[in-house]
Amino acid sequence: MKARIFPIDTAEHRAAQELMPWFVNRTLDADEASSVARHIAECARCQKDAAEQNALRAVAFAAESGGDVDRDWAVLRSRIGAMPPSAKPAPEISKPRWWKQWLPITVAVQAAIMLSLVLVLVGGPLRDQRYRALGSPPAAVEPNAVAVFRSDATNQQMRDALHAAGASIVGGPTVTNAYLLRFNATAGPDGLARLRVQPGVVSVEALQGDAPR
Amino acid sequence: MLRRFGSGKKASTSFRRSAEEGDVALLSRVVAGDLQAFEALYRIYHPRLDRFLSLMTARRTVVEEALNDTMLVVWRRSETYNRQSKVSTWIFAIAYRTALKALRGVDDSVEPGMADELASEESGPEQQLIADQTRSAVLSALKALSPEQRSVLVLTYFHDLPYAEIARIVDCPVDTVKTRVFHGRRRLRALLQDDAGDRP
Repeated sequence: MKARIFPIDTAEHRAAQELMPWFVNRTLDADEASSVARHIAECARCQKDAAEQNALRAVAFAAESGGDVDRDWAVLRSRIGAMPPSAKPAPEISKPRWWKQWLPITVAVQAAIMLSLVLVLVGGPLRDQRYRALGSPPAAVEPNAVAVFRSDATNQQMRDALHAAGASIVGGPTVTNAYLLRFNATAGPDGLARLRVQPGVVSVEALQGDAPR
Repeated sequence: MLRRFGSGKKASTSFRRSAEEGDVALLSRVVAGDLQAFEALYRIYHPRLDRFLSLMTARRTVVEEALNDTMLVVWRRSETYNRQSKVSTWIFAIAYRTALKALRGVDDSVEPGMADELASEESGPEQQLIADQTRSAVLSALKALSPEQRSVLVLTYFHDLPYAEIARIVDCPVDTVKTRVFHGRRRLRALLQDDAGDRP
């Protein structure tokens, strides 16, 4: 079959010209390749063009690499070795898309909860805003009772008596060997009476109106 | 170097598929910090990247640096490969961007001997002379094109890539690739005709 000269502006010729490089490198799909092949069979201009492009491709394949892989690898290996361990990021485990969408919201909610907890925890101490150095004495606690222990009462007896009554020593001993006490909120209304009956206790008296009886 | 002259398209497709599976397996190990897997990947891609970057940048020192910069990105950012494209497409896209960056830092002149180095191949003395002259002319003409035109021609004729894959590498629409190649080869033909006219 004799090839014809196609008018340069026909759609078929233009399409074949456009796809010719990939017809030559054989990466067109079957439909495109057969369409271009049909056109080339009939078009003298495209036959010449295909031959030129095949020649170009032959030149391309003759162009060998001039690099030295061993030398280049050694250079890169030393660059990797010089990097800090953190330079290679930890691999990211592939996560589903929904996780990526919800991640910022989850983090924000967690941050809000943590902030609330911090405010609750530090809120009490923050209310007392007086500055205290490490060596400063603790804040003064007002005593609401005074107690006298027997001179032979042991430390253990004193501790047991105070625990049983729900009281703490906040001052003393005074010159009369009396101890200033503070009954805590859980002591109950009969705290004084319970302390009076404890072994080693001589006397217990209320100092303020809020002290237990 | 892989040559596919005379091989069937089916065999070629099958080879490409298994090569791609091998690349994905290696890259998965690279993500986990496996240096041996990375070296294997490096040795597979070195000749292809060397050829691509040689034709893109035309300077030996720039080629070596750009090649290792490309593979360093592969090592450090391997976890960003998302399997939306082939491993080779992903690596060549990195190489393309690295080459463009390198080209901004050097003048466009071809390093002496670079075209000859790329053109060398064994054959008879007379044929060798003609072949060398042709190759040298083609390679020099390529250097006269813009980096954008040069890259698509190199990826088409020197790397046998389909147009869709080239579009992903250079990050532009398929029609732009087709247009660049069309105008690029017309310019190349004109340059080669001028060169032939200048020869004694």
